[in-house]
Amino acid sequence: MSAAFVRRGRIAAFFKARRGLVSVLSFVALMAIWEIAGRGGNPLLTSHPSAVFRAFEAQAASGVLLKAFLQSLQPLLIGYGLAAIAGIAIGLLLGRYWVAEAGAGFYFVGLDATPLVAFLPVLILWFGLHLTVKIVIVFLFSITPIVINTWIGVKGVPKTLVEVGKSFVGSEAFIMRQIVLPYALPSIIAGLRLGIGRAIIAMAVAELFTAISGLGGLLLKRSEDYDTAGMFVPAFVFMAMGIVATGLLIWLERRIAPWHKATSAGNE
Amino acid sequence: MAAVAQTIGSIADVEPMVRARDIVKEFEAPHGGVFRAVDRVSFDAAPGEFIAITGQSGCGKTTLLRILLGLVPASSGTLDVSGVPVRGCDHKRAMVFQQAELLPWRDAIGNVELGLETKGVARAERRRIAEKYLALVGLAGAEARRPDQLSGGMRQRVGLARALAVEPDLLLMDEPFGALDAHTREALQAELIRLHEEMRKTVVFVTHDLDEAVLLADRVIVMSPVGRLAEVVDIAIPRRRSDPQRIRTTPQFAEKRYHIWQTMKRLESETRTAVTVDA
Repeated sequence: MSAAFVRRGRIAAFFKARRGLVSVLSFVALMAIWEIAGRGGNPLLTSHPSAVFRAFEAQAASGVLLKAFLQSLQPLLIGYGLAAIAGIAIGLLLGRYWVAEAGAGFYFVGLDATPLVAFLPVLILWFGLHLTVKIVIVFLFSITPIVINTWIGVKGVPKTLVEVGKSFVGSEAFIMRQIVLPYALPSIIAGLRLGIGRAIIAMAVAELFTAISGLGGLLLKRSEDYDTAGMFVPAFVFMAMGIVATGLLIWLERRIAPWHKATSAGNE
Repeated sequence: MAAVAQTIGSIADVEPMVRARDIVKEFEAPHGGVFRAVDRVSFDAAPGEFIAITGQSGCGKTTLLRILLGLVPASSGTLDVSGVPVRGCDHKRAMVFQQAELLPWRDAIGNVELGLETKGVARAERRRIAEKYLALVGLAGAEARRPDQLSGGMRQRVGLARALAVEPDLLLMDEPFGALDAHTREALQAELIRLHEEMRKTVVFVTHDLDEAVLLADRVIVMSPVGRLAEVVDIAIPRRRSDPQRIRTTPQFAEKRYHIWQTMKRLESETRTAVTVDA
């Protein structure tokens, strides 16, 4: 029995290692192709990985990159954090109570399809040019996928499980906490994953169109200077932030919802 | 005023555990009108009695069970359990569901603790009680396993332990073994007989499996396809049914089973005739 479990652990580790290997190979291959294709080009129009890496070293050494990163992190974490808390709460209400769904559901569907960029001038008038408006932009961009996914997750809770809660005399709060929320968790985390990408884009948009700051500002300045390699550095940091945040959420899901991986098919 | 509905098969001089009178449940039909799922059903169950309810799919047996649980209200009629009218769910009645319906994120013992949490039992005490009932259904040692790590039969055992753990007066079971393979089903039937011998809980057990009804029950309620109580069959095969396989071979078993089968055939053809006449 325990031997079987140990074996299963090793097999899982092997598959995990193989997955990591595929990702690394894919990345190395892409960089190699880019390096070969980009080397001969005009540095104003194109770049290549070794040039980007040198630009990265320069920006890291001067401290400009870290400063921009920390400046960006503030509106991102606050805006996204608020969106996560409010989005999950709203999604739970929309999924569980038909009055909430009928009364407010369509606003979030609508907001999700709204080109928020068009509203930036108004948002600036309301919230100024600095941290507050950036938090608001990140919040508005990232809340809708969190709301909608939580909502869908709650709608998917089997009626019979809620009846189990009722039959064992669970209060509405008990059913919400012990049955609805855990059941919807994988879907909520999917919403958080979609939201983080949106939040990073929103952060960059805010930094470009309100007071120029952070990684978005750095990207803008480098591109205005036609420093193409230097422009790629903050762009790569955006991507890395998205990948790291998603990785953290996947890790979180395995921690708090291990049954989901065990019961869902996924890819093999 | 003094007219008391005819008590069907009640055991004299014993306060019944379940007293159901003229239970009716109507639903709104999709295209207007009402559909009567349960039609004036009356019966008693004595303390410690094992009652099986059987009938075709759609005869209202599961609806009746949900009314007994308090999950849905009856449209009319009176229902008392241990002398108190049923109004909503409480800890006096507990259900074992068709598909176990365990919470997938809780381990076995966590699932058994569910009803104890809503009952307000303190944490340590909860654990102790849940361990006791898991052991009672033969799952000592499986406390930390999640439902996806349990077989179908084991999941149903956890469902049974979860219901027993709140120490209800009345145990309701909704085709709990219907989805299991024959071998597992027989093992669980034997287990349920043993538990009933030990604990003497009052049980109402819904099944469409006639073998199961005759094997387990003291009395079998046969419902007609239109939601009426058609017949109550006394099984009267003596207690100490320690070897279910042996009982299946007895002439009484075969006779009772055949009798119920005939009743159901008759009800089916009557319904068909009625429908034809209506049309």
